[in-house]
Amino acid sequence: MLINSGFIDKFQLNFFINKLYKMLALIHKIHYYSCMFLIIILVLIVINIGLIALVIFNPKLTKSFSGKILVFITLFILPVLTVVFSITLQFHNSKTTQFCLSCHIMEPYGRSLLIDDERYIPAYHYQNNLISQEDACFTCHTTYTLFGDINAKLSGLGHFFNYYLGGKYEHIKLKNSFNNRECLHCHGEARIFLEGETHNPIMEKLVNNEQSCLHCHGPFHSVESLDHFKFWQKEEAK
Amino acid sequence: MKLVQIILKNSIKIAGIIIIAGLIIKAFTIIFIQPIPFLIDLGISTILIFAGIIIYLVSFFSTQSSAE
Repeated sequence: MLINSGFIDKFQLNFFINKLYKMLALIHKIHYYSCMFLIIILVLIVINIGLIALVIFNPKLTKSFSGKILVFITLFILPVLTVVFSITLQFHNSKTTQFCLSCHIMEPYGRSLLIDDERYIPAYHYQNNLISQEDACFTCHTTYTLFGDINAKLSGLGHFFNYYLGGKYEHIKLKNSFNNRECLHCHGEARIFLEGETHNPIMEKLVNNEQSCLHCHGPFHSVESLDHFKFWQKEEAK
Repeated sequence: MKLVQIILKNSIKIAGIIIIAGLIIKAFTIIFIQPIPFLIDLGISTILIFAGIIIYLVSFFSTQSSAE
C-alpha cells in the first residue's frame, strides 16, 4: 500500500532489501556460535537502553531500595556485561580470515590461498583444511608465546595506523622474520617431522630457529605473480 | 527535594545518556567484522560506556557519603 501510494518507490525498497540481505549475508559468514553470541549481545543492548530510558524518565525510582538496585543493574551490571561480551566477540572475530582480508591491501594474500598448486605452502594448508579455514591467517601469523595473541593484535594495529596515517603503503611486510616456532607449534610433535631423515641431522638448528623451515619449504604467497596462476574454485567444488 | 537527590538525579541522567550513546555505537559496530568498526568499538563505545559507569558510581558514592 505504501509502495502504491508512492510513499516509498520501488527503487528505494529494492535498495533497502539489498542492504538488509548483504548485512545478513555478512552475519551468516561467521561461525554459528558467534552469530548466536552476537544476537545475545544485541538483545542485551536493547534491554539495557530500554531500562536506562525507564530510569531517566522515572527519577522517583531512585528513592526506594528496589529502585536503587534497578538503577545499579541498569547503569553498572548490564553495561559491564555488554562490554565484556562484546570485547570477547570482537577479539574472536578479529582472528578470522574474513577480518584480515577485509583490508584492501590484504586481498592478494587472500587470493594466494586459492592457488591451485600444492607446492605453495599457504594454499596447500588452507585448501586441505590443515589449518582452520576460518582462522587461516591468524593460525600461522600469530606468535605462540605467552602474550602472542596480544602482540599479534598490536602488530596489526601498527599496520592499520601506518596504512591510514603513514602515507603511501602499497605492500605489507612481516615485522620480523618468520619464526620456526610457528611451524613447530603444529608440526613439532608430528611423526613425519620427528622421524624425518632430512630433519634429524638439523633438528637442534630448527628448534633454535638457527635454520629457517622456509629455507627448504616454499614457495609462499607469491602475491607479485598471482596473474600467472590457476585458482581453486571453492564455491564450484561445493 | 534535597540537594543530594537532585545531584544524583542529574548525574544518573548524564550517565544514562552517555551509556546509551556508547551502546548505540556498539550495536552498529559489532555487526561488522572489519578493523575500523573494531577500533571504533574498542576506542569510542567502550570508553563512553565506562565514562557513564564512572559518573554514576562517583555520584552514587559521593551522595551516599554526604547524606550520612
